[in-house]
Amino acid sequence: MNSLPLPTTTKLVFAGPLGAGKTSAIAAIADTPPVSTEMPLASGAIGAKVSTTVAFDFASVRLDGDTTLMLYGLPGQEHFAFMRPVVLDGALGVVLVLNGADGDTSAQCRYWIRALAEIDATLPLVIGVTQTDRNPDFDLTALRCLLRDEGLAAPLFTFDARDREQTAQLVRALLLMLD
Amino acid sequence: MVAGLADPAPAATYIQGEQRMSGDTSGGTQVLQACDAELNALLGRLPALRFASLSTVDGRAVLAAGRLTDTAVERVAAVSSSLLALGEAFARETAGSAYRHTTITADDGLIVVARVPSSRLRLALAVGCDHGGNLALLLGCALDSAAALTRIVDRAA
Repeated sequence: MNSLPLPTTTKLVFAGPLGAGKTSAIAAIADTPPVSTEMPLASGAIGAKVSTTVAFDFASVRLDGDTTLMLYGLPGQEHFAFMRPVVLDGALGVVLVLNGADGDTSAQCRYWIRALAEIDATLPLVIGVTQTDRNPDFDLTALRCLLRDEGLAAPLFTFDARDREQTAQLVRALLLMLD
Repeated sequence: MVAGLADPAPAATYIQGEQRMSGDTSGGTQVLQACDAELNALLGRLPALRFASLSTVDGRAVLAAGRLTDTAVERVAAVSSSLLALGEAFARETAGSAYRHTTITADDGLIVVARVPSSRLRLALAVGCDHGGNLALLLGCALDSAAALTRIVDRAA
């Protein structure tokens, strides 16, 4: 049977904890407003955050030629862990978004690296840390040491998830790893 | 039988939602008791009904009745929330209109997930029956119960 002339697509997944900025990052680089499954937090606002992703975010970005990036975002909360293998199926890489304002970014990082590896240890990964300006104790070196200890050679950035260019830089880094 | 309902133990009610509902209402406990009574009444309406779960739209269990273990209650709440959100997104993206409910047909059972359209709290109701159930009856019971739960929650406002 002849194959269908489908356009080339690359599926990338944004993962990370609640409030790290996954939804904002996807919205920042999407060509059109993302498909959202945001629901209000029953426990009330967490800082400025009043809603959370409960299934996934989805948006696409058209690259040059016929290539389209399909961007998915995972829910950050643990009780939605069942969505991870569903959303990660077929993904070519992961942008791990960590919350630098959190007191223990290293613990977040370790948890998510291991959680993702349980699903697919071969997935290329780039790591972006947000909101580091809100944490004077944030230490990028500690994260680098952690990555080394975990045996992971992943590019590591700090970035503003609301900024299109900064978010695009992470995606470019991930795409370079796929080449 | 619907997955997660294999335990043949007698029906047991699980309540964990007091803080989730009483945190923003003075009559939270009474509301929960009334909702709990409604869920148990719902289970009595159809012999094939096996569980009813009430959760917040961000996936936290509020109440459940029927043959669900505590672990299953938490998981059903999370999945209900995801399904409801996907249903809302699907309705919005394709029809540009509001979501009402989702039905699932499994090999050995039926499930309905419906929004509880309270103006005060955003909740999801999931109801499941075994192979002896009928989708029309299940859907009717689920939507009637969602309306009843809405009245209970809104009355307390």
